[in-house]
Order: sequence, then C-alpha cells, then structure tokens
Amino acid sequence: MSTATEHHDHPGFVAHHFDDAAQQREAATLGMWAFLATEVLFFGGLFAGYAIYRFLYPAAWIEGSRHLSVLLGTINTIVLLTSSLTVVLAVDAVKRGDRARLVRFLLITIALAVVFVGIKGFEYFEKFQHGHVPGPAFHLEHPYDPAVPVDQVELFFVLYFVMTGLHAFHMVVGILLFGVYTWLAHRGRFDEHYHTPIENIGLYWHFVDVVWVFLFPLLYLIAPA
Amino acid sequence: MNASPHDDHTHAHGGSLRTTYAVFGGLLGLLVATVGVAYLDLGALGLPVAMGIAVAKAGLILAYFMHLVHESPLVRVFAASGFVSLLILFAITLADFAARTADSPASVPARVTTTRSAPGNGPGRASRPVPFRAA
Repeated sequence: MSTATEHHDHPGFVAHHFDDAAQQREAATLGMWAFLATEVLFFGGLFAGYAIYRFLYPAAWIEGSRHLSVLLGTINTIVLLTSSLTVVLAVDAVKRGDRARLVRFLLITIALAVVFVGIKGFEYFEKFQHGHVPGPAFHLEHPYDPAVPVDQVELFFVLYFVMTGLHAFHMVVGILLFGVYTWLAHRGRFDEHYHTPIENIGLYWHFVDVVWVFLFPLLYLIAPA
Repeated sequence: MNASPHDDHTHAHGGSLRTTYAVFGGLLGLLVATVGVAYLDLGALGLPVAMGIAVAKAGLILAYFMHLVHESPLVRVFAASGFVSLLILFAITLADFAARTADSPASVPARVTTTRSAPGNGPGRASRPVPFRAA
C-alpha cells in the first residue's frame, strides 16, 4: 500500500478526491447499497412473476413444490446462514487488525459457499434425471395430483430454475470475489484502518443470503407432502 | 494506530460478537419455525406466515449482519429504496390480477378456480397450450 500522501493528515489509502477516510468509506457504502437496490429489483421482477403465476395456478405450484427436496433445501439454508455468520466474523477480525483470523474466516466462507453450490448442482442433476427440466422432455412420472395440468407445473419449474439459477450465479460470482479478496487479505492489503472492500463484499454476501431466505419457503415449502 | 486494536473503533461499527451469535441463533430458530409451520397445513394462512418469518429473518440480516442499525440515515434511505420500489411493483401488479374476474376480456388471464382432468399428463402430453381459464 502506498504511504505517499499529498495531504498531511491523509492516510495513504484515502483517494485524492475525498476529504478523509470516513467520507471515502461512506461513499463506498452508499455505492454498494445503490447497487444492492438494483439487485433487489433484478430479483424482484422474478418474484413478481412468481407471485402472478402462483396466484393463477395455485394447484400447479403445490404440485411442483412437492417434487423438491425439503431436506436438501433446509441443509443449504443452514449452510448459507452459517456462511453469513463467518463473513460477519471476518469483518470483525479485520476491524481488530487480525489478519490471520480474517483470512481463516474468508476461507471458511468460500468452503461453505462451494458446499451450497455443490448441493444445488446435485439437485439440478436429479431434476435432469427425473425429467423435471422445462423443455420438450419435461414430464411428471409420479404426479401427486394427476388432475393438475402438467404445462402449469412446467411453468413452476421454469421459475424454479431461473430464480435459483440466478441466485447460484450470484453465489459463484461471490466465490470468485472472495478468492481475490482472500488473496489480497493474505498479502496484507486490509487492516484495522482500511477494510471497506471486506465490508462491501460482506454486504453482497448477506444480500445473496436474504434472497435465499425468500426463495426457500416460496419454492420448497408451499405444501410439503 | 498503535493503540489497542480492541478500542471503541471495533464497537462503533460491528457491535459485540455476542449480538452476532444471538442473531445467528435467532436465524436458525426462525428456520426451524418456517420448516415446521410448512407441515402444519395452515391453508390460506400458510403463505402469510411463511412470508412473515422470511421478513423477520431478512430484517435480522439487514439490521445486524449488514450493520444498518449502525449506519447513517442516508445509508438507510439508500438501503430502503430498493425495497420500497419492490413494494410498489408488487402492490400495483397484484392489485391488477386480484381485480380480474371471469368477465374480463378473454386475452386477460384470470385465476384458475376449478380443476379439470389433465390433458395428457405424462410423457405423451398434448402439445397444445393449456388455456389460461378453465373451460
């Protein structure tokens, strides 16, 4: 980190166009929240589509939901909530200037995220095996309620794959970002004075967690068999 | 700074770790609640209860894990903006669909209120699209 400063009381990490570290941090935090607001609406459009079709085809939503594994969904929720906890602990570590603890919790977070995506991938694999992927091959071998039109259940699975797929994509992006930040943390880029990037990737990760908090009951828990 | 790293700087933003673990315990408790409630068959109450629990979990994450309780009012307004916009999106969209009836124009899908025999459920299903309204 450069320690050369053009202004006397400026730490090296404060960019030229900011008055002080506090102003720089608030600008970055505001920018992150502005980004997250667009993310809320990015996912929000899908949630609105989900709401409309659940309202139109309630029986198909129950039928589709019963083909998902509540056990795997619950395990993944625990994994993701725990990864949010380890991110909080990582942020706490860097605020204390404890670099080893920071790197350790970032690595644990990455491991938990990989477990989540792995379980998600296994669920997708099962859906492919059972013909629950929307498209020409879509079919329900053993419907719980044969009276429900299969096309409407297919629509449920379209939303299932798009919503969880977009969520999983955010997870993968998060894993890559955590990888970069863990490397930078290992190199000593962050300390008790400068750690806004760690705080902001934490905000991103918690947001991904919040999305899953809504996806889990809406997809898996409509009316478990 | 060479002063103790455990000074007020730590507590100014993050709160104590005891709060963090309490929030995490609360989140796990709410997870158990939402899974348990799903098996109770609450009927029409199922969705509002599940969403109430989800909002409580999201609130805990936003307030404590995402530090909104410690942030400035300006940051909180930024954080709220996305959710307020989402509320408007939902209110107007759902008000429209809730107001539709069987007398609405045929191009407007209305809620399917009656079940009928499935047109070709299974691998050999009919290729024609399922009409929006029960025939």
